[in-house]
Amino acid sequence: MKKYIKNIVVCLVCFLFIILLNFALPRLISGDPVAYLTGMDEGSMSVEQYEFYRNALHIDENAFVQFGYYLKDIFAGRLGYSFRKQASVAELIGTRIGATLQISFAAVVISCALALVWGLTSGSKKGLLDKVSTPVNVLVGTFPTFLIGMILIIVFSFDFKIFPYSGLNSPDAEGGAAYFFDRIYHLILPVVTLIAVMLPSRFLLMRNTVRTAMGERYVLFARQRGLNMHRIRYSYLLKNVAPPFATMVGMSVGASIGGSVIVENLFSINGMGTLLTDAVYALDYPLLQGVLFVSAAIAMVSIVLTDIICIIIDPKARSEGVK
Amino acid sequence: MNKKRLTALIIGCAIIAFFVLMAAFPSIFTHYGAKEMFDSWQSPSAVHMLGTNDMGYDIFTELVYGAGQTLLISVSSGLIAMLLGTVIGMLAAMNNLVGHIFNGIINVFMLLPKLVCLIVVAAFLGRSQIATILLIAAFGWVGTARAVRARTLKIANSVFIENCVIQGYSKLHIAMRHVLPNLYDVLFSRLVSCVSGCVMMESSLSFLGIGDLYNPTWGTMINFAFRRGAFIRRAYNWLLVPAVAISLLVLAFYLIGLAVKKREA
Amino acid sequence: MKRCEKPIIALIVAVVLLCASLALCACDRDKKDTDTVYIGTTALIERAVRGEYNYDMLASGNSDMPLVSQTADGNYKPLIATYSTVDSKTWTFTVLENLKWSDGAEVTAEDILFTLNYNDARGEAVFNDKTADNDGSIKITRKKYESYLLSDDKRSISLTLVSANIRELSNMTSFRIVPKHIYENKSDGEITADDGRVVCGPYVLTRFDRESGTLVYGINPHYPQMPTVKRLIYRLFSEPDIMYMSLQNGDIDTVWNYSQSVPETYLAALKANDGLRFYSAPSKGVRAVLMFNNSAAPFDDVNVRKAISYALDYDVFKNMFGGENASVANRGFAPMSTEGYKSTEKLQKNWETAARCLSQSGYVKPQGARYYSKNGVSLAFYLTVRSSNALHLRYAELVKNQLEEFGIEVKLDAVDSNAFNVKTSNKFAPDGHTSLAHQAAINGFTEAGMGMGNGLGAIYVDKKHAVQGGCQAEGALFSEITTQLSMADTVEEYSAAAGRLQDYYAEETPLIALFWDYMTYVCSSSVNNVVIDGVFGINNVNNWLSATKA
Repeated sequence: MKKYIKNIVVCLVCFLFIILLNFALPRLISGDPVAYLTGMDEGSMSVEQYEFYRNALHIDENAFVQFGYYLKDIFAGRLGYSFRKQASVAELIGTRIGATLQISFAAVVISCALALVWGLTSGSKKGLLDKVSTPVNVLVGTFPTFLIGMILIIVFSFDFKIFPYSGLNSPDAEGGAAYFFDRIYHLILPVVTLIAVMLPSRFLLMRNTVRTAMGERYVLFARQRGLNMHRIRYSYLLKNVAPPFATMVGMSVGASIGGSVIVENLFSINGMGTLLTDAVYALDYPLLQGVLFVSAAIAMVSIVLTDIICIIIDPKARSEGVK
Repeated sequence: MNKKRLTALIIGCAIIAFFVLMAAFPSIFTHYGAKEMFDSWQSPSAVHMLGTNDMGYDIFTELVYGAGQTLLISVSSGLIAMLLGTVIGMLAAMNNLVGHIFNGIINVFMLLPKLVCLIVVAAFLGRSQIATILLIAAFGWVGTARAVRARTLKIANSVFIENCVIQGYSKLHIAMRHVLPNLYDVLFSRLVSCVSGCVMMESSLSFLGIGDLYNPTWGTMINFAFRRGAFIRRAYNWLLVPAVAISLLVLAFYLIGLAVKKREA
Repeated sequence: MKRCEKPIIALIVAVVLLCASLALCACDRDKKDTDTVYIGTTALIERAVRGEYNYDMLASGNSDMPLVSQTADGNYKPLIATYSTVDSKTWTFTVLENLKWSDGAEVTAEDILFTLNYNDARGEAVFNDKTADNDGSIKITRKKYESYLLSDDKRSISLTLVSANIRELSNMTSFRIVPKHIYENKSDGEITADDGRVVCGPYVLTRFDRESGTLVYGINPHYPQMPTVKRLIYRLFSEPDIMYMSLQNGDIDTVWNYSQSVPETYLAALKANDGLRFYSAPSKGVRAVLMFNNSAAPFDDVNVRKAISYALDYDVFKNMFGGENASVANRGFAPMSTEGYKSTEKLQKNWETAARCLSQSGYVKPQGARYYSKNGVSLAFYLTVRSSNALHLRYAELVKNQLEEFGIEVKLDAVDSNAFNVKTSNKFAPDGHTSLAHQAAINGFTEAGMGMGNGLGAIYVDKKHAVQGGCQAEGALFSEITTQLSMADTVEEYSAAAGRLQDYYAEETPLIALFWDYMTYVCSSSVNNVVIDGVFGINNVNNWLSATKA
């Protein structure tokens, strides 16, 4: 229990760190903080506008007061206003986050499930499967995200023309079921790309954990008793491997958001990732900060959730508190 | 060392040596200038091994000169990350408040969504090469710190350290003269994975267009290919070859790490 | 829980496969509506309402029409109003018969008057002078019209300009009107998105799907003429590459971006496709401009500017970036189809002349040195360019390669659009600036931009222009020529003044056109009777009123 509580605390500290980073960056970097915070250059604002923003952003007051206002804004859900795009940051992210989450969550769920099964099977047997899987996964793990994406696009979209290479929907799709299936159709390649990126490291992690666990005594005893491997895997190993697995799932979400930035760029999907790259090209600082905040929030929430799930399912953790 | 580990080591070293040679002595590999212009969009041929890109530059030449850029940024950030990681790892192993704070810092950095943070801070810091190197190092030290901390904890419990403490040596002296030399094998095996991590981060950043546009790294070359019409012309020589080069580099580091790691098992 | 796992996993895999195959079947990708034209664009559109610049440019071609249109060969056609003038000073616009807004209300000249006042209230110098305080020095933008007269039946309005302008109609090609009956009693915050989509053109926006990036336009039932194309669907792309690939695959019928021609990179790949047709029209815009800051070193020296104009190899620019109608530009800058064009000396590479120009200012390149230098300082400058524009980056890189080969050091300054505007235009520069921050910049001038003000790109050259002025040129001769241009009452007077301006460009070289080219448009061969517009290219109202899709 203590370990997981500690994890949750670390999580919150991390979140605080992101908030501080978001707060400090525009005010510490050389240059005008007003420019960084509004996203507009001081040259493009009239004197009155500049004064207005200076006051509204409380630049002249001391750091703690500014931080107080900043926290107040965050809790009110105000993430800033993007002048380049003429819309509030919260609104911009809100419309786009659906696409990113669709890709990320699907990829996380499928890749972790696959990693679990594959890793369990491969780690518990020293056979041909392991000999082939491990090098293949190592090799694919060295491929950068965009390489995998580009190969998939080239093979499946250009040469075989099975899947579309861009967008989330065809322009003609309207209404319930057709729209839904059209969306899945467009999401297949991006999700597969992200799975291919995330699977190797998860697989290797699971496999190594299982490999180590195979050396434990309870496995030896189970085999002595004549239980078959399948039983050992799913009744014994699984329960012991579950906590690190759950932690891995939680941390995967953060990595998948990063990966989805590249995937969305490749596949021209209007998600948070392309919003981020747009913001970088236009140096739209409020939008950048907003996206960082939301990504961190998602990552933290998923880690905390998985830790809570761990506490629930892991009897060792619960009984630790009793001691 | 058995044959398999030896082959892995040799292959890994050979690849890295090849790229380092490319970076240091580009003129051995290609006699074309980096910005010398020929006919655009040529396919691979005897004259141009990988063809030419949209501006007419020889792609193989760009690859050779890009090797220098890529390695410079990756290796420097890797080394800085290693240094940072070692220091923080040793500090985190200490048994007092400082140790707990640094341990907390390690855990915090582990949880950050790395790529998004990198992109945002890179946008604030601008396009300079030094900023990029420092930035990548600032997010790449975590794995090293964890490994160093774990090993330092183990060492700290051994008898000879106790002996040093009894003798009254200062903590700094113990750290530098006694603990550090025992960390070398951990450091070496972490060096390779740290640098390869930096390579991946650098290539992701430059693929998204953040980086020097005139002296392209491999990632920037792919960005250009992607945005300047390589897909529509099916110019896979421009699109895929730099990405394969990146994979080879990372693979080489992994192989070396593999060969070294098994030794201590 | 023993053997449950395997079936569960098998079930999950089966469900995924089922979904995938259903998705594959359900999407009839070959189904294409033959009454719909699919248009791809890379314009960044966020809200799709009147007032968003990129959206306004797109909507000008289907729903939110400007007053008049200009055909590819330079003639004007009424879209909202017919026009007449006797002395080019007083223009009378008469709204067309039966023109109605999409909510049924009639379009009258009162809407025109309302729009003019609406713009005036928002800072445009329409009926009143506008002053801008520039850190002490007051800049006055003179009003455009001195009076107006609304006819009794409210169908015509006569506008009298402060001074005669024979090219007034070209300004009207981008003048769009707002519905008075909706806007007059509402403040800016009360105008809803639906209000912003009430238009008088042949189409009306029926659906804006931001997630998939599509804009769907259906027919406006109140428009007096039935368009031949029943539905327009615009697909928003983030990358031109993907857009042109969609075109190749037949997923879209045509491609449009405001004032942009199909880049040569894609043309070569697209020409191999038999299902595509290409349309060319002479362009009044210059898409690749090397602007000098004539008020700052080193380009305040005409010899340095001239030297560069002789150091560049224009044939390379033309061949690499230009299509089959491309040509090396003249020193007079304005393309051949410009009103008042005068033939001047062609730009050409001549390193001896360039070296001579430099030596006249004291720059020498000793044996073995890489760059020209004066008093020990090498000749070097920063070339500012938009980092988001891939084409401009390539122009900049080519300029850098060529000039460095000649012996002038060029440092690339790739900045985001905002910083670029701050450095290269008067309106965005910091208050109180004496000269803009750039030394030289790569830019592109649209047809509209070239025609604004006195025409011939003067707004970009004139240091005194309130908005642009990138070249920061000034001086007695230049002022005299611009005054003569603005005072011209007849076509002849205008041409004479225009000729003098082009001679000035040729002699003083405030900016260089890297190459001239036609505008090239591409469209699927299933679309016939395509009409190209002089300002809006393939996406224009007249096109949708005549084009047919097979």
